[in-house]
Amino acid sequence: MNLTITETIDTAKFRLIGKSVLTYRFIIPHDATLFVGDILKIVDSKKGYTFYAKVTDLLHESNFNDPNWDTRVYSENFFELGDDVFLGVEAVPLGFVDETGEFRKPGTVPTKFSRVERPVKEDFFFLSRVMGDIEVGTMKTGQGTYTDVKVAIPSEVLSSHMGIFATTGSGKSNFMKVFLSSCIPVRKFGILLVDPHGDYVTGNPKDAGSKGLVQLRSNTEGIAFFTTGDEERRKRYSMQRLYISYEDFSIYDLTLHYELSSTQFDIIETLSEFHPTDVIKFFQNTSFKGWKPESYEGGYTQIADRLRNYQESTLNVMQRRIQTIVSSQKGFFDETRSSVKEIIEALHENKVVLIDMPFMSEKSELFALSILSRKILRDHQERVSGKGRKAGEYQVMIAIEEAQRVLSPGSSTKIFRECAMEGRKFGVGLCVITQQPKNIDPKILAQINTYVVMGLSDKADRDIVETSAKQDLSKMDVEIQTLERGDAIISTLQIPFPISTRVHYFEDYIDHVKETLKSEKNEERIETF
Amino acid sequence: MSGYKEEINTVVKFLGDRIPSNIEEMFIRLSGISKKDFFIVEAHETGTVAGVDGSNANILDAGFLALSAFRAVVSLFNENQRIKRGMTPIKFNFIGSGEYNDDFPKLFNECFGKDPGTRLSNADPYKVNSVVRDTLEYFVSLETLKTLEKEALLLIDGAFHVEHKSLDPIIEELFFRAEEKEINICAVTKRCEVTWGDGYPLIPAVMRAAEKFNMKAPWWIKIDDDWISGRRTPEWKKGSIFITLLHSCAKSALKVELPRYYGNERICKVMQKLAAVSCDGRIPGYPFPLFDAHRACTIKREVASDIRNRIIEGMTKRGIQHRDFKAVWEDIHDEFNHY
Repeated sequence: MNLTITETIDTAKFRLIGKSVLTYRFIIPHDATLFVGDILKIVDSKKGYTFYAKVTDLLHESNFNDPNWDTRVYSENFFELGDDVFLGVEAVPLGFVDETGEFRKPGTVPTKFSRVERPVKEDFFFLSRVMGDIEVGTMKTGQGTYTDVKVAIPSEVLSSHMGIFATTGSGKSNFMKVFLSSCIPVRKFGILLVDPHGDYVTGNPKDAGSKGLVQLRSNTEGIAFFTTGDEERRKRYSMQRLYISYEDFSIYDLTLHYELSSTQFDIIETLSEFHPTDVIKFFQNTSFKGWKPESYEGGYTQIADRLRNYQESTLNVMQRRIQTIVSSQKGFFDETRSSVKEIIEALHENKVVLIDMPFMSEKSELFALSILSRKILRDHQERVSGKGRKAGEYQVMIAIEEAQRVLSPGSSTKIFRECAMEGRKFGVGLCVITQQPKNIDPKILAQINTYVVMGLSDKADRDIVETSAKQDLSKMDVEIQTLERGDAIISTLQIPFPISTRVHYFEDYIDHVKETLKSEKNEERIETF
Repeated sequence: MSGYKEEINTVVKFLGDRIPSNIEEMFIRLSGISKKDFFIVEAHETGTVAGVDGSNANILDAGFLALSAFRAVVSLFNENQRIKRGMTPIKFNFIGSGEYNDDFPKLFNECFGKDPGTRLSNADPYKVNSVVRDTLEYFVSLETLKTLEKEALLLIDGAFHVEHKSLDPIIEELFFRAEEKEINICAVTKRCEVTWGDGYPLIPAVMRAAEKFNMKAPWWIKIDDDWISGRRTPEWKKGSIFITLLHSCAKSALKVELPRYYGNERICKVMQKLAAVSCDGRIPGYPFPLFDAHRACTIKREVASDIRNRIIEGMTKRGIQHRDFKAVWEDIHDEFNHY
């Protein structure tokens, strides 16, 4: 009889042991370093497939009969602890590459005990074929990144709206700046963004190192700035002055600013058939003291006639409100001058259009944004229906910061809701930016096909995002909770699985964009020559 | 007939009498020990330490015929890292209705290349299992000695006290081979059955005495043969008995045995190594190489079940119907256990 020397090399670890098509499980040494969010590959040499999975949880486990063994250890010394003590790893399948190199959705399980390995950059070659054209960062795996694996959102999917869900300080301004700057060389669609604090245009004023998109002004014509700022600011940054004319106004815009009674709403309905300029002027020049329409002597008798049945007090309220709107927007709300045409033209030239509104109130920001959004949507609707042009001739995306203000359930602003529900047909997409997705109407969330999820600490916010996204994010809850500043999970239709992304740092990335724009210019010159 | 409560009370009284409240004083009086008989151990580096353990499991039992499985394992450690494990194949032993065990001589011969010389009675199945298990353990120990270097420590689960005459020369040979290579050997008992006086257990008495003398673990004390009561087959006893508490967090002291001819310096050296390998946080106070060997060799329920299945498969291939197999081997308790 001979003694059989049993192998003490650990062969159980890093081998797939379960569980199902939708969840993988394997074990690793108890002291191995692995992070939630790490992407691993499972090499199934029997089937010839390479599966990919993302780590969703790590659990201390052991083979010991007593599950509470670790609550009563008596010293810090352990002999060969790794024999029976290990980390259980839960992972969510991302899909697999078949023998032809085609990436497929997870529809089968890897063979039991298939090897689990860390992928190298070449393993993600298949991703480069499905990545889009608007680069925003590099692929993240746990704590590290694959710097060679660029994450880029496909421009084609953006008419189906994009949502950016992030709490304060999680890097959403940086993401937007990177996104906008990457759109410039691509120029597949126009983007409108109202910047009430100057963060996007000139950088965070509280941070000396912060840069804005104005830095790209001299490198490209793919960006346009309109501002309510003073002349010094306009000249310094080569911006055009923003004007919105009375004609651009709709009496319905009052609803953005005020809670209206039913009588006041009746008046709005009544006045909607008149030119907004006439309505504004009527209220500016009429005294309603002892209101008698038959004795009205101004130039808007038709309006006066339609308001004959209303009380003096109601009309006084309406007058006060209209006057407040006009006066509080006086920096850009003008009787005759309007930038709307130029803005829409710039958008149709697929430019990034930034509306710079420094020192303006939140109401002014929404006022400008709602008017511009309405004008854009109506323009597109007319183009499609009126002149027989095909839908999608122009693609425009409208960014809404703090979108819960205008897209909450029950009190959504009509124009934004319309853009969300019908905009896609007319080439108008929304970029919904919010730190409170739970306060966005779920019907609107359901219309969004591209989710950019940054740190969300509130469970209700995470739940609504995870259940609304087109790809299943529910198993990435731990990762979403532990996302670091500047990291995002991007889920969009063309990329086969949600990608953890380390978003480029705009202040570094801007030089790359400048280089791209420069080389494109040179190519244009050569072609011209 | 006494009631349940009285029965329990009787048991409690009997057990209580085994461990009287002044057991340490009684033991000190009998043995005459003092604080100076306890030796403090300083744990040193371990060098190479091998642990050997054996196990057995009941596979089939038809009343007139029982089949048990056995195996033994050595786990070899160097400075707390396992270097290798060696394992015997699983061996089987039938205890039949015959007077003597037929499988034992075959196994003995396979292990040591000679006949046991003395036959093994089937009268006490517990003893048969114990002897067969010891046989495999000694075989593994002898094989292990071939690979160990000078100064290594070989730990064997159990005692240097054989239960069958045939194993007496094997222990002698084990000692001889170890001495030849200047290797220390030591037997460690998981459960100490040694008593003193009128049948008082040794371990609690010694532990309480150590507490009385304010001994801080790790310590050891040599037990004089004269203190021990109820000695069986003293002619086959080859070791000196020691009680040692190897770690301050140990739940209990251990009984260990060393060859009788070990001097104090050598004993200290062994105890130092024992303490050094008995500091694992899971089982402080027990030598980890032995624990490792124990875990590797234990024939667990699933292994026993696999063996049973393979036997059934083999018998089916030989044309024996499963119904007949069940009629012979299946215990009606298995059926009872469904309910």
